[in-house]
Amino acid sequence: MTFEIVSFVVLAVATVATAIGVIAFKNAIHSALSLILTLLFLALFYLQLQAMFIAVVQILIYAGAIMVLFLFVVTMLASDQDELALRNQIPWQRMVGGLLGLILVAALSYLLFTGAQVTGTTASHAESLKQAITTYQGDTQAFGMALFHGFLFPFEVTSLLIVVAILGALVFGRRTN
Amino acid sequence: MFDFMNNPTVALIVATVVKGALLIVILLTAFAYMTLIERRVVAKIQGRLGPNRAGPMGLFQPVADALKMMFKEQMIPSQARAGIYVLAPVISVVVALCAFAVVPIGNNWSANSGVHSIWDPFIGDINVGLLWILSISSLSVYGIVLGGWSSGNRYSLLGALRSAAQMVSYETSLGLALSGVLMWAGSLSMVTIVHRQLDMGIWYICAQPLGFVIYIIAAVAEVNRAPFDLPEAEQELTAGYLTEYAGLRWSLFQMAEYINMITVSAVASTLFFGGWSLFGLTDGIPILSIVIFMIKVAFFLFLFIWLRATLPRIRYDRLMRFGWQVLLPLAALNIVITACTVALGGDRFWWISGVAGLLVVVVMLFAIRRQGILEGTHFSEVETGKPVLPHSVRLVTYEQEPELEQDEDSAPSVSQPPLARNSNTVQV
Repeated sequence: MTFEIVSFVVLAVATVATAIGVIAFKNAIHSALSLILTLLFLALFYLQLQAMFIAVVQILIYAGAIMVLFLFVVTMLASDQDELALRNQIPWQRMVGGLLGLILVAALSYLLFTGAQVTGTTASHAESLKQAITTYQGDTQAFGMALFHGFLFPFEVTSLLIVVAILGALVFGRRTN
Repeated sequence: MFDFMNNPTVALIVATVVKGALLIVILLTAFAYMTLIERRVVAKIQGRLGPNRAGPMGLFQPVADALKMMFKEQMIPSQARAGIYVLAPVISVVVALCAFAVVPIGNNWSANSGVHSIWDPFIGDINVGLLWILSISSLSVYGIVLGGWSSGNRYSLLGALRSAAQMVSYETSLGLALSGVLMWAGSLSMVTIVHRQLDMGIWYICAQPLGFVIYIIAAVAEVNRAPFDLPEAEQELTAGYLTEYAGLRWSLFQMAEYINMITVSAVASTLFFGGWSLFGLTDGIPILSIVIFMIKVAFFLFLFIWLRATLPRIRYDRLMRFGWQVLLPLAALNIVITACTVALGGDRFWWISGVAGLLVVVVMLFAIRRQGILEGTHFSEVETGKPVLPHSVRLVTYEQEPELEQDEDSAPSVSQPPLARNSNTVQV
């Protein structure tokens, strides 16, 4: 138990530090690298929760695919300028950002300290998830079963949405003759 | 003395560290000798001798190379971002080494899939082994992109961007090609996939010929080897992302490339060629399984060298078009074929997807050959207007050239001699 707590604290501090780095770095590439580290640390959180599949998929999709595209664009567009131009800042931007952040922290700590328990339907979901993992001998199998049997319709709708998005990008990117 | 090994957790950690260290030593040795073997084999294919001075048959050449690399000056260009510039090759190597962790190099020491020991010849048999390899190798592009960007050189940046685009494009086909195997095996664990092949009595190459061909093509592109070595195309980009690197840092990038080659070869032999198995030969003797696995991997490594010595580099736009318009749809087709066969009745009908896949492969090869010939033909017969084959295909050279050259000024309607316009094909 102590090992779990210690590793959680270390991970949490590292994750928060890299997440702050994303917005604190002046150089876009450094921000992107910081974001990659944050995503990798998140994968470690999943590992700590014994969710192998989600952890690896987190690395594969976010750190491996999406961030590569980010970096691709950033290196191509911002290769010459060292620092982001900060002149387009809205004056009250920082204040509102800080306020919203405070609200988020307050809400999360309220949930945390009033002991938000897993109750009601959430609890039964968690219980059935545990059962599914034992029935299908592994979280990958359980995940696949849930995705293609329980949640097939939302899954298909989501993929349709992505296709629509791709088509939209295609229309915008098409050369007009 | 070894009392601490009685604690299972400590024993597991110790065993993992020892196996990891051993694996790294093996991989680095393999990398060193791959460079020698590659130079020797390419030299043989090109009718040269290759490095044969250092030691018997040039066996000490890697040592000499390593010494030379170590004592080279480590420069950091004035335009470079020093931190990332130094970090990039390290990222490449670390990522390449990590990916190998889940590959089963041999059978369990007990030769019984049910009896495990902490010293079994793989570092971890995790439930998502194949996804682990895919996800880790998708990180390998960072080393290249960051190295290219931080060098502060246009050639480096262009090479890095090319490589990022290429690796992202071919990763999709690579992943889809492997999902056919997953459908047969029903598991992502590399160890289980090998055992499933033993249970079925066939290697998955028999059930998945199309998946295998797509995997091999995508893998060559994924590790940036010839004929897909566009990130370092020397005629266009000097040396691509490697331009500003020298000495040890340069050899770290090389190391990453070769280790990636070994990894994709190991994955190919595990998923499609039964891993460490060979017709029941390895049942009683686990150590033999390691030897057999190494032979299989060596075959694929030789294939990589062979390809490099044989094929010219592909043009960049064609590379992209091939990846998205040919490989990706075929990989999807492979999934459809496999899914239908698996749904039809499982293991007994593996030959249906085998035959169908083989058919598609043959058709694909013919179509590519035909298209290659037609696209290499930028000129047509003067009289009939029919497209004709380039000289390299016709095997007839210099038939009418002198007369046509004389006619050029007097008759502009007559097209130029084929040789002059045919800049895309290799002249014999």
